[in-house]
Amino acid sequence: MNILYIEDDQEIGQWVEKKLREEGYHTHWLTSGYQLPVDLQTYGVVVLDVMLPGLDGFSVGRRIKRQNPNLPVIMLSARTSIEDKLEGLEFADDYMTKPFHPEELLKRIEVQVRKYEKAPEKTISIGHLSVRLDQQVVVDQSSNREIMLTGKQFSIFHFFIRHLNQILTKEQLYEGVWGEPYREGDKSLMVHIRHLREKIERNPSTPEIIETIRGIGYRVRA
Amino acid sequence: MKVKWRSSLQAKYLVLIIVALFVFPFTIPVISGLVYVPAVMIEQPDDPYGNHESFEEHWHEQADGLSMETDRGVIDELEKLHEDMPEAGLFWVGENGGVKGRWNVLTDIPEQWSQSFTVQFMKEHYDSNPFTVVASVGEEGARGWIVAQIDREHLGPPITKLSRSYDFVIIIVIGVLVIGFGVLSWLFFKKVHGRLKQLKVAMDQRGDAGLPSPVERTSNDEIGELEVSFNQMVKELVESRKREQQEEAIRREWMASLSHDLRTPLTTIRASLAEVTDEVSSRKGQQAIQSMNDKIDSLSYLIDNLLSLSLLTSQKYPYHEQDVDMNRFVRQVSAHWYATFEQTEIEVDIDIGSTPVQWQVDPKWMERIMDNLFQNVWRHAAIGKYVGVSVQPSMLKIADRGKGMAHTSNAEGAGVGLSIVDIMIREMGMEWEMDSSGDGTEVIIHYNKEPNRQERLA
Repeated sequence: MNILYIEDDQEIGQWVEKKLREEGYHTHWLTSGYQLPVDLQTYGVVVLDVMLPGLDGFSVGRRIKRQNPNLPVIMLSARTSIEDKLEGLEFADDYMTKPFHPEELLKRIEVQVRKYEKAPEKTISIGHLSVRLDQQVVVDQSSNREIMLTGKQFSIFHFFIRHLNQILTKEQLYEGVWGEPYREGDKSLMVHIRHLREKIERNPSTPEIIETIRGIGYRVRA
Repeated sequence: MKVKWRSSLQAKYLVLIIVALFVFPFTIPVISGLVYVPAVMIEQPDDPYGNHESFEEHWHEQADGLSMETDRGVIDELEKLHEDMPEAGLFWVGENGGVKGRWNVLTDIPEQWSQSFTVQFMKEHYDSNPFTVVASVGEEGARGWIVAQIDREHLGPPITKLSRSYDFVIIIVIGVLVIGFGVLSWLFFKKVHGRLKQLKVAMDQRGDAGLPSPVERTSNDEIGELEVSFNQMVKELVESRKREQQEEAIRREWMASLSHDLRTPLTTIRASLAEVTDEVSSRKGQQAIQSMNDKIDSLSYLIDNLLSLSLLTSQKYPYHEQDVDMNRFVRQVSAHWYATFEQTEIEVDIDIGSTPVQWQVDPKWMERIMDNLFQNVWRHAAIGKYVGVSVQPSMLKIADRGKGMAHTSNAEGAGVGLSIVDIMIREMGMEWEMDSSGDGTEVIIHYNKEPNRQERLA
């Protein structure tokens, strides 16, 4: 896989390029974002520094995303303020701050690659389930039988899949699925999740797919 | 700009008062004129009663004319007079004191008059109401006397006849004037009140930037002036907000470049360390490299906190207060940290009730406080394998089961992190306490602010 890496600092650049190469990635390292390669679509991931001479990393990242919306971009920056992170995450897929551990960078590249590689087939495996997002079909792989979900149940499940491994608060889930502000004390989300678990979990009393994170919300792990 | 006196509200109200003061004294003569003049001008030729003198004279003339008539003739004549003067009471007492005829008699009279009753009647009815005229018929009363009585209301000039309706008219007109003046004053103040209220609504309404929008000038009076001043204030606020944003952007840029300049060498050190890691084979050497790597993380954390602290102590850290739903907020921040705690097997115990908890704080500051406290738990109290977060209307508690602050003397950054927590909590008008022992540390933030405090810009 090809990785486009843009970093102006020579020492860090050499180090990261070496690490990526060792991991088996073909790395194209640039020291500025002025001359992007024309064959951007051939790259699997872009790793981008923010403070570049001249054109800054945010502008370069936006330009890349405009040309190739499906190309994952990881920002790698010494700017740690929340404003910078928010600005970066508006278009980028991930934001890492320096000084970073190379292992973490490799792990994050892997996550992005996995996310985008799986996208074309649109089939995701979660525990004993296999989910075809385009056809809205959930199949129990152990019995190979389709699980019928109601529209709302599928919306909730789909929201979990879009935010795999993330802990979602009650508010985030409710507002993401229902599209209206969550009111404290509303039990409808809990009821829907209970019904969803009855259908997808092997044993709804000890759920394996939809984890409850006590006091915070829920999580579905890949 | 000064308000021209003529167009001021003061002048308008004074005009209203002066008009009222002038109108009242003129009311009575004007109404009198309006009521009496037409009545006096219009003659009433068919008035059968006339005034006191003419009525008396007329009655005596009639009596004189009756002296030669027969009894029948007198009664017929009196009958005719009764038809002409239906409001008058008439009766004829004959020469022997017997009543010979009566028409519409207004007072109690006996059928037979004694001399003493006659004297008493005369005495009682002299100069009283009804107006009584006694006229003898025939030579020296040879045929008795005829009496005419009439309510004084029917006599006299037209003015006296109008006096009762005049009272009525004047009460109505004064009543209308008083109510009219009251209504006018009310309308005047209602208009002023309405405009002031509109201005208040404009002040309370916040646009996109959280600032009120300018209003249209409605008049040249004092409120118009107020509107102009208000617009001026909004303009200045917008400018100051713009300046503030510019300053904030410069500060952000400064922090970013400083952070970049400090972090880039740190990253380079890490890169160099990575280079030598493979070359170092001794356990001691590997330990040293690990320790250096840890110090790099600590330094990076310290850089953030030091930069924030420098801004905070120089009062340059942007502050934007708003209503924050603490239940939702704490859940959200805890969700960010959950994975980190999970990796180090720290149990996260969240206690959030179902009662809504609203705090007036800056969410970014609050996040920074919680991040620093969580950071401390993660870095220095991971050994306790526990972090508890509890939200109550007037309290936020973060507790761990580490070895307490006394054992973290070698933990870099904890002091700076807590200094930031301390400054931020106090700057937001709250209090906090920390209880640390060998069994763990408990940080409690107390919120006891009055609701709806004005937005404060640090």
